Amino acid sequence: MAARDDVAENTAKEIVIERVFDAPRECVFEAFTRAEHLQQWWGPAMVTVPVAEFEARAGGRLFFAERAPDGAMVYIAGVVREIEPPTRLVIAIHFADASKRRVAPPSRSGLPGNWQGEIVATVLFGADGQRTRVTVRQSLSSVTAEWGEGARQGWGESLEKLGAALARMR
Amino acid sequence: MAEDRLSVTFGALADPTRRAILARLAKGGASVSELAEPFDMSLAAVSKHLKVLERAGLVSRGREAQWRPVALEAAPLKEIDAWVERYRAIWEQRLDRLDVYLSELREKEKRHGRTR
Repeated sequence: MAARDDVAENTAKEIVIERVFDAPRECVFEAFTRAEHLQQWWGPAMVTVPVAEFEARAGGRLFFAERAPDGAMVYIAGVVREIEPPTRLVIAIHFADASKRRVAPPSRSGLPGNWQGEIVATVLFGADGQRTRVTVRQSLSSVTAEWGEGARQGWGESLEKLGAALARMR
Repeated sequence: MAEDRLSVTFGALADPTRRAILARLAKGGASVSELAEPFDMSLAAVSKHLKVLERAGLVSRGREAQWRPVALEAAPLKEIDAWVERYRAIWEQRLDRLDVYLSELREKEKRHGRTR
Protein backbone atom coordinates (compact mmCIF):
# COMPACT_ATOMS: atom_id res chain seq x y z
CA MET A 1 0.00 0.00 0.00
CA ALA A 2 1.32 3.36 -0.97
CA ALA A 3 0.25 5.08 2.23
CA ARG A 4 2.02 2.58 4.43
CA ASP A 5 5.11 2.74 2.24
CA ASP A 6 5.25 6.46 2.75
CA VAL A 7 5.32 6.09 6.49
CA ALA A 8 8.03 3.45 6.30
CA GLU A 9 10.05 5.45 3.81
CA ASN A 10 9.90 8.70 5.66
CA THR A 11 12.14 7.35 8.35
CA ALA A 12 14.42 5.58 5.89
CA LYS A 13 15.10 8.47 3.55
CA GLU A 14 18.18 10.53 3.72
CA ILE A 15 18.25 12.67 0.60
CA VAL A 16 15.15 14.68 -0.26
CA ILE A 17 15.23 17.04 -3.20
CA GLU A 18 12.31 19.10 -4.40
CA ARG A 19 12.15 20.98 -7.66
CA VAL A 20 9.40 22.76 -9.59
CA PHE A 21 9.44 22.38 -13.36
CA ASP A 22 7.67 24.69 -15.74
CA ALA A 23 5.93 21.85 -17.55
CA PRO A 24 2.71 19.87 -17.06
CA ARG A 25 2.84 16.78 -14.88
CA GLU A 26 2.19 14.26 -17.67
CA CYS A 27 5.08 15.72 -19.58
CA VAL A 28 7.50 15.52 -16.65
CA PHE A 29 6.37 12.01 -15.80
CA GLU A 30 7.02 10.94 -19.39
CA ALA A 31 10.47 12.48 -19.27
CA PHE A 32 11.18 10.27 -16.25
CA THR A 33 9.75 7.06 -17.64
CA ARG A 34 10.60 6.85 -21.33
CA ALA A 35 14.01 5.78 -22.50
CA GLU A 36 14.24 8.26 -25.38
CA HIS A 37 13.69 11.11 -22.91
CA LEU A 38 15.88 9.69 -20.13
CA GLN A 39 18.73 9.38 -22.58
CA GLN A 40 18.65 13.16 -22.99
CA TRP A 41 18.99 14.13 -19.36
CA TRP A 42 19.91 11.20 -17.09
CA GLY A 43 23.28 11.20 -15.37
CA PRO A 44 25.40 13.79 -13.63
CA ALA A 45 26.54 16.93 -15.45
CA MET A 46 28.89 16.33 -18.41
CA VAL A 47 27.92 12.67 -18.67
CA THR A 48 26.34 11.36 -21.86
CA VAL A 49 24.06 8.34 -22.00
CA PRO A 50 24.64 6.30 -25.16
CA VAL A 51 22.24 3.58 -23.99
CA ALA A 52 19.05 4.01 -21.96
CA GLU A 53 16.45 1.31 -21.43
CA PHE A 54 13.36 1.70 -19.29
CA GLU A 55 10.43 -0.71 -19.07
CA ALA A 56 7.67 1.47 -17.66
CA ARG A 57 5.83 -1.17 -15.63
CA ALA A 58 6.15 -2.58 -12.14
CA GLY A 59 8.96 -5.13 -12.23
CA GLY A 60 10.28 -3.66 -15.49
CA ARG A 61 14.03 -3.48 -16.08
CA LEU A 62 16.06 -0.35 -16.50
CA PHE A 63 19.59 0.12 -17.74
CA PHE A 64 21.80 3.13 -18.35
CA ALA A 65 25.24 3.34 -19.91
CA GLU A 66 26.85 6.56 -18.69
CA ARG A 67 29.95 7.95 -20.38
CA ALA A 68 32.07 10.41 -18.42
CA PRO A 69 33.93 13.20 -20.26
CA ASP A 70 37.17 11.18 -19.95
CA GLY A 71 35.48 8.27 -21.74
CA ALA A 72 35.09 6.13 -18.62
CA MET A 73 31.88 4.12 -18.65
CA VAL A 74 29.59 3.44 -15.72
CA TYR A 75 26.64 1.09 -16.16
CA ILE A 76 23.55 1.27 -13.99
CA ALA A 77 21.00 -1.53 -13.93
CA GLY A 78 17.89 -1.94 -11.88
CA VAL A 79 14.20 -2.44 -11.67
CA VAL A 80 11.05 -0.33 -11.62
CA ARG A 81 9.51 -1.19 -8.27
CA GLU A 82 6.40 0.94 -8.55
CA ILE A 83 4.93 3.10 -11.24
CA GLU A 84 1.67 5.01 -10.92
CA PRO A 85 1.32 7.46 -13.81
CA PRO A 86 1.53 10.37 -13.48
CA THR A 87 2.17 10.67 -9.75
CA ARG A 88 4.69 8.18 -8.47
CA LEU A 89 7.76 6.22 -9.51
CA VAL A 90 10.06 4.02 -7.44
CA ILE A 91 13.25 2.67 -8.93
CA ALA A 92 15.99 0.53 -7.39
CA ILE A 93 19.40 0.58 -9.07
CA HIS A 94 22.88 -0.85 -8.68
CA PHE A 95 26.15 -0.80 -10.60
CA ALA A 96 26.53 -3.20 -13.52
CA ASP A 97 28.77 -4.06 -16.46
CA ALA A 98 27.98 -3.61 -20.16
CA SER A 99 26.07 -6.92 -20.09
CA LYS A 100 23.89 -5.68 -17.21
CA ARG A 101 25.45 -8.03 -14.67
CA ARG A 102 25.92 -6.64 -11.18
CA VAL A 103 29.45 -5.48 -10.39
CA ALA A 104 31.12 -4.06 -7.32
CA PRO A 105 30.56 -0.30 -7.05
CA PRO A 106 33.34 1.75 -8.66
CA SER A 107 35.59 3.31 -6.04
CA ARG A 108 34.50 6.79 -7.08
CA SER A 109 30.94 5.92 -6.03
CA GLY A 110 32.05 6.02 -2.41
CA LEU A 111 30.21 2.77 -1.70
CA PRO A 112 31.84 -0.19 0.04
CA GLY A 113 33.45 -2.63 -2.42
CA ASN A 114 31.36 -5.50 -1.06
CA TRP A 115 28.10 -3.56 -1.31
CA GLN A 116 25.18 -5.78 -2.36
CA GLY A 117 22.28 -3.39 -1.87
CA GLU A 118 20.20 -1.14 -4.07
CA ILE A 119 19.96 2.60 -4.27
CA VAL A 120 16.23 3.24 -4.07
CA ALA A 121 14.78 6.47 -5.42
CA THR A 122 11.15 7.45 -4.99
CA VAL A 123 9.98 10.21 -7.28
CA LEU A 124 6.69 12.00 -6.62
CA PHE A 125 5.07 14.24 -9.21
CA GLY A 126 2.67 16.89 -7.93
CA ALA A 127 0.60 19.03 -10.29
CA ASP A 128 0.79 22.76 -9.60
CA GLY A 129 -1.28 24.28 -12.41
CA GLN A 130 0.81 23.98 -15.54
CA ARG A 131 3.85 23.35 -13.37
CA THR A 132 5.06 20.19 -11.71
CA ARG A 133 6.58 19.76 -8.31
CA VAL A 134 9.01 16.83 -8.31
CA THR A 135 10.18 15.35 -5.05
CA VAL A 136 13.03 12.86 -5.18
CA ARG A 137 13.70 10.81 -2.09
CA GLN A 138 16.75 8.65 -2.29
CA SER A 139 17.01 5.88 0.22
CA LEU A 140 20.41 4.83 1.41
CA SER A 141 18.74 2.13 3.44
CA SER A 142 20.26 -0.81 1.67
CA VAL A 143 23.85 0.35 1.60
CA THR A 144 24.62 -2.31 4.17
CA ALA A 145 22.30 -4.56 6.11
CA GLU A 146 23.26 -2.69 9.27
CA TRP A 147 22.52 0.63 7.68
CA GLY A 148 19.13 -0.62 6.57
CA GLU A 149 18.24 -1.61 10.09
CA GLY A 150 19.41 1.75 11.38
CA ALA A 151 17.56 3.68 8.73
CA ARG A 152 14.28 2.04 9.67
CA GLN A 153 14.88 3.16 13.22
CA GLY A 154 15.13 6.76 12.22
CA TRP A 155 18.80 7.02 11.53
CA GLY A 156 18.28 9.95 9.19
CA GLU A 157 16.70 12.07 11.86
CA SER A 158 19.48 11.28 14.28
CA LEU A 159 22.11 12.22 11.74
CA GLU A 160 20.42 15.54 11.24
CA LYS A 161 20.45 16.20 14.96
CA LEU A 162 24.04 15.13 15.17
CA GLY A 163 24.92 17.37 12.25
CA ALA A 164 23.29 20.32 13.97
CA ALA A 165 25.14 19.53 17.18
CA LEU A 166 28.43 19.28 15.30
CA ALA A 167 27.78 22.58 13.57
CA ARG A 168 27.33 24.20 16.98
CA MET A 169 30.63 22.69 18.13
CA ARG A 170 32.59 24.22 15.27
CA MET B 1 40.47 1.43 2.90
CA ALA B 2 38.09 4.36 2.96
CA GLU B 3 35.19 2.21 1.74
CA ASP B 4 35.62 -0.35 4.47
CA ARG B 5 35.78 2.39 7.02
CA LEU B 6 32.51 3.78 5.74
CA SER B 7 30.90 0.36 6.28
CA VAL B 8 32.24 0.23 9.80
CA THR B 9 30.86 3.70 10.47
CA PHE B 10 27.46 2.74 9.06
CA GLY B 11 27.45 -0.39 11.18
CA ALA B 12 28.30 1.50 14.33
CA LEU B 13 25.57 4.05 13.66
CA ALA B 14 22.95 1.39 12.97
CA ASP B 15 22.08 0.98 16.64
CA PRO B 16 19.73 3.54 18.23
CA THR B 17 21.48 3.39 21.60
CA ARG B 18 24.81 4.15 19.97
CA ARG B 19 23.28 7.07 18.09
CA ALA B 20 21.85 8.39 21.35
CA ILE B 21 25.27 8.06 22.98
CA LEU B 22 26.81 10.09 20.16
CA ALA B 23 24.09 12.73 20.43
CA ARG B 24 24.86 13.02 24.14
CA LEU B 25 28.60 13.29 23.44
CA ALA B 26 27.98 16.04 20.90
CA LYS B 27 27.16 18.22 23.92
CA GLY B 28 30.49 17.38 25.55
CA GLY B 29 32.63 14.57 26.96
CA ALA B 30 31.19 12.24 29.58
CA SER B 31 32.08 9.29 31.76
CA VAL B 32 30.67 5.83 31.11
CA SER B 33 28.34 6.08 34.09
CA GLU B 34 27.07 9.46 32.90
CA LEU B 35 26.38 7.92 29.51
CA ALA B 36 24.60 4.95 31.07
CA GLU B 37 22.30 7.16 33.15
CA PRO B 38 19.57 7.97 30.59
CA PHE B 39 19.39 4.34 29.48
CA ASP B 40 18.06 1.43 31.41
CA MET B 41 21.34 -0.36 30.90
CA SER B 42 24.24 -1.82 32.80
CA LEU B 43 27.65 -0.18 32.62
CA ALA B 44 28.88 -3.32 30.88
CA ALA B 45 26.28 -2.97 28.12
CA VAL B 46 27.20 0.69 27.61
CA SER B 47 30.89 -0.24 27.52
CA LYS B 48 30.14 -2.74 24.81
CA HIS B 49 28.47 -0.06 22.69
CA LEU B 50 31.40 2.27 23.35
CA LYS B 51 33.83 -0.38 22.08
CA VAL B 52 31.92 -0.54 18.78
CA LEU B 53 31.94 3.26 18.51
CA GLU B 54 35.63 3.37 19.38
CA ARG B 55 36.47 0.78 16.71
CA ALA B 56 34.63 2.94 14.19
CA GLY B 57 36.69 5.94 15.30
CA LEU B 58 33.54 7.76 16.38
CA VAL B 59 34.61 8.19 19.99
CA SER B 60 37.89 8.29 21.87
CA ARG B 61 38.62 7.41 25.49
CA GLY B 62 40.77 9.53 27.76
CA ARG B 63 43.85 7.77 29.10
CA GLU B 64 44.73 9.95 32.05
CA ALA B 65 41.82 9.91 34.47
CA GLN B 66 40.47 6.91 36.34
CA TRP B 67 37.03 7.45 34.78
CA ARG B 68 38.43 7.68 31.24
CA PRO B 69 36.12 10.33 29.76
CA VAL B 70 34.55 9.54 26.39
CA ALA B 71 34.70 12.15 23.64
CA LEU B 72 33.06 12.39 20.23
CA GLU B 73 35.30 12.12 17.17
CA ALA B 74 33.67 13.95 14.28
CA ALA B 75 35.85 12.87 11.34
CA PRO B 76 33.97 9.67 10.34
CA LEU B 77 30.66 11.54 10.52
CA LYS B 78 32.02 14.15 8.17
CA GLU B 79 32.96 11.35 5.77
CA ILE B 80 29.35 10.17 5.75
CA ASP B 81 28.20 13.74 5.26
CA ALA B 82 30.43 14.03 2.21
CA TRP B 83 29.12 10.72 0.89
CA VAL B 84 25.49 11.77 1.25
CA GLU B 85 26.23 15.15 -0.32
CA ARG B 86 27.78 13.49 -3.36
CA TYR B 87 24.54 11.64 -4.04
CA ARG B 88 22.51 14.75 -3.49
CA ALA B 89 24.70 16.57 -6.02
CA ILE B 90 24.11 13.87 -8.62
CA TRP B 91 20.34 14.28 -8.31
CA GLU B 92 20.63 18.06 -8.43
CA GLN B 93 22.62 17.76 -11.65
CA ARG B 94 20.14 15.33 -13.16
CA LEU B 95 17.23 17.65 -12.39
CA ASP B 96 19.14 20.63 -13.82
CA ARG B 97 19.51 18.69 -17.03
CA LEU B 98 15.88 17.64 -16.98
CA ASP B 99 14.89 21.30 -16.64
CA VAL B 100 16.94 22.22 -19.70
CA TYR B 101 15.56 19.27 -21.63
CA LEU B 102 11.94 20.12 -20.82
CA SER B 103 12.53 23.69 -22.03
CA GLU B 104 13.95 22.33 -25.27
CA LEU B 105 10.92 20.10 -25.71
CA ARG B 106 8.59 23.05 -25.16
CA GLU B 107 10.48 25.15 -27.70
CA LYS B 108 10.23 22.37 -30.23
CA GLU B 109 6.49 22.07 -29.66
CA LYS B 110 6.06 25.81 -30.13
CA ARG B 111 7.97 25.77 -33.39
CA HIS B 112 5.81 22.94 -34.64
CA GLY B 113 2.73 24.88 -33.63
CA ARG B 114 1.47 22.14 -31.38
CA THR B 115 -0.61 22.80 -28.29
CA ARG B 116 -1.20 20.50 -25.38
